[in-house]
Amino acid sequence: MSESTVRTGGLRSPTDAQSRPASLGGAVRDLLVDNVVWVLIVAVSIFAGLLNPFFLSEANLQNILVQATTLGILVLAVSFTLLIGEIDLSVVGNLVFSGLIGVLMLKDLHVPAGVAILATLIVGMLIGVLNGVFVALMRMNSLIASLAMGLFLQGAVLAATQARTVVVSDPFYGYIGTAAIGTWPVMPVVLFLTYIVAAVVLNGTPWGRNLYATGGNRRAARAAGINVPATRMSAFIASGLLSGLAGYLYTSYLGGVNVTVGSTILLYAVAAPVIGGVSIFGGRGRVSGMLGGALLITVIQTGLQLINVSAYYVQMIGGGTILLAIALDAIRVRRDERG
Amino acid sequence: MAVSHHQDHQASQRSKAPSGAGAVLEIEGVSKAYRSSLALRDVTLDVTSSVIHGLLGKNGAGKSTLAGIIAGFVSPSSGTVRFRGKDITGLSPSQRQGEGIRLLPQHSEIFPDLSIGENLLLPNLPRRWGLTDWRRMHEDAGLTLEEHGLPVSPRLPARTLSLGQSKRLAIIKAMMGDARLIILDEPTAGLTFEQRRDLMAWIKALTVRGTSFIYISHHNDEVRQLCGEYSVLRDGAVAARGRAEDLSAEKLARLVTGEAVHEFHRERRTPGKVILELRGFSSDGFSGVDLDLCAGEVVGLVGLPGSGAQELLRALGGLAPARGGAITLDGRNIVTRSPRRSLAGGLAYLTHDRISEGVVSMMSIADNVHLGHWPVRETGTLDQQAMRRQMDEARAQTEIVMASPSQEIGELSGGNQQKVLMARLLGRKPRVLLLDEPTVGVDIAAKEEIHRMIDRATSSGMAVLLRAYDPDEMVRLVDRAVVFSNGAVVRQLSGKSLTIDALATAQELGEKKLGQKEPGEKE
Repeated sequence: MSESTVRTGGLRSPTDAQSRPASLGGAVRDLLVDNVVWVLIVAVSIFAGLLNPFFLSEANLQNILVQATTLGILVLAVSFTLLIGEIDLSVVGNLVFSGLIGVLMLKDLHVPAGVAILATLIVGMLIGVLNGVFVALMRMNSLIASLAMGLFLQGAVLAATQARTVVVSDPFYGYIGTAAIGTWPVMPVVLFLTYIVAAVVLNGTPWGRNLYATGGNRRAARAAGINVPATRMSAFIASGLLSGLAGYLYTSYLGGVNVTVGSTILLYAVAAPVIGGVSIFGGRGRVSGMLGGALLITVIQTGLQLINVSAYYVQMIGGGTILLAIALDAIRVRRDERG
Repeated sequence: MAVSHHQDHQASQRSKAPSGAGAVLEIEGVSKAYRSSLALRDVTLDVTSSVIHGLLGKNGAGKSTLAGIIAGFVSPSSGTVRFRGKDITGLSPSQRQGEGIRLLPQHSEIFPDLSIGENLLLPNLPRRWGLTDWRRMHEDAGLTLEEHGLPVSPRLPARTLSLGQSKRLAIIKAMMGDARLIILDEPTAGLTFEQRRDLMAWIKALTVRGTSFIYISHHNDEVRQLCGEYSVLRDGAVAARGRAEDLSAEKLARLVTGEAVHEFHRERRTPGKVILELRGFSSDGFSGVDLDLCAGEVVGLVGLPGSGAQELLRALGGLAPARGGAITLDGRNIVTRSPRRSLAGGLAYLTHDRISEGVVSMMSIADNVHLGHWPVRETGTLDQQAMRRQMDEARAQTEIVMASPSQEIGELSGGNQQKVLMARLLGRKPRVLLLDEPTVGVDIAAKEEIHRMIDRATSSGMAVLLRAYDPDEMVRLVDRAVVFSNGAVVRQLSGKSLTIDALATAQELGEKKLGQKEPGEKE
């Protein structure tokens, strides 16, 4: 893979080798720098495994993947908007709100679980449509508009639940969140399937390429005949749909919904794509990097718990790691600019 | 710096004596390696004091890298730079400024809302009790401007300057504070024929003060008229150097490209039937334009930005709203509400602003060729085979120098980027090409190739509306020309009346009318 394809997530061809640096050392260094996230995941895992061998066990791997599922889907949601040079900060609000709708439909309206799941996804998507209208059509600032939307949704959940946990116990609704095939949980399957679909969509469909083009140079995209407002709108709809999916997965896993869904998860959902090399200015980012970012954050969190770091330090260390990862990424970007 | 160890050694080994006492700048064996390529190899050249030294070369030949090395923004991998006999290889850009070296980039920044005087004197405005002394600033600025042959009021905002005057302001600013060597990177880009001529005469006059210039240009004629000596860079190495008076246009073109360049003259053909009709077409910047365009015809639109020529192209391309009138293409009414609609209707616009409106620089060449027009399989995914096929077709039409189609387009030279954009437009199979300065910032070889692409398009029945600021280029390509001034068609030129002189005068006509908006412009 050449570095150019790596950075665009674009088409690959065998002739790419031509643009690689000549020396082997340089090639290895580039490979490491281009895949900072995966290198860090391995490094953190080995470190945690040395301090607590349980970290490297199969049971913990399963645990990490389950933990990473909700975050991973949210990371993808945020990434779709980052690719067009915008941001969706309402993903967590969307998650709790759409999750609550699904749970309430089951609990109070007694609809079949399939209908409740579908409703969760549709509500999530409709929130995305609203965000899209605000940003793509009314040209509101996405940072503020989606932040306000997220506050509103979380506030709505708070008002509806009065801060109580709403519990649901429907075997079908809870299946994906709790079931296992043999000893392996099903949740991560959804995570990987979603990422495979995202990779195909972003790299292999006109829509995906239009997202990159719109984020990379909006005026050029328009001049080339791309429907820019529709493309920008669609990124928010995708983000909303994915947040709805995360809402379902989360409530399915927890067996209910609570407004206090991790207050830090939003920050991690925004940091993870950037750690994975997604540009906040749009037009640049690989699907594998998005996944890597989500996994790295989960690995760090789990690792800190397993080596008995006091909960009071976890957030600080998490923040420090993000800083480190982004600093490494900045070095990569500077190197690329130097040519 | 690591290089400084070698310097004295190398200097003492020089077999060649410095070319007389007259050399202000001596570059000695300078190479520059980037991560994956060699931008400059063993460049040795001298710049004589008080002359204009023309630096020529294709896009990507290494001119900008060399300019950066002289000004100190780029550090060489090896070699030395001596300025007035002193080794400056290890000096920072600001230390070199102190020595009197100035680099004026192609797109020099003028702050449009600050006054001309402020633009000139920033960041060293005269102060009084810690505050800006406005009266003295305007006096100082006024004197400096007068002295350098730009008699405009320093109190006016800089946006009132014409493009040519802005360039002069930037050059005067660069000259202040004891400048001894000024590097000008394509100072005439975007200027009309007349403005170019004036600016060149003005620069020539400045050498009388003893200032030396390095003049980077794509225009061979400029170098022949203006420069005392020249160097040609090709693939990062000095391909030729000598006295400019010994040069012919043909020889210079050959030196730059490394091969004989045949200037392309398009044969004027009898046009086919009318395909595009504009009736009373109006938009922002022009109104009531009637125009017929025939199949296989190239019609030149003459006029500066603001005259209506460019505005017409952009409105037809869907980049500016239509405000009235009718557009008929092949007998059907066309809506130009957006580029998408224009393209669907058969009108394809090529922007004059490749960087901000043309390429998506971080995407691949293949992506850029197919942008907005992706071949799709029945499954809804991209048809990679069709993309490769179309890419091959495009490369058969014109040579695009690249490592592979998946290379980022931002890494290509301007000329190659422009060919990719042409390929994108031709891939849409439009009826009419709207070309807005198709060869802006493009080297000679690429320019001729683009001309050939235009010619091939017309021989297959496409019609072309073309705007180009170079009258020479215009004459070689168009069948007839339409002159714009103040948003209206004022004259048509065709047949015998279509000459370089007539086009230059016509362009000026637009300029004079515009000139009313320009205070400070003296006849």
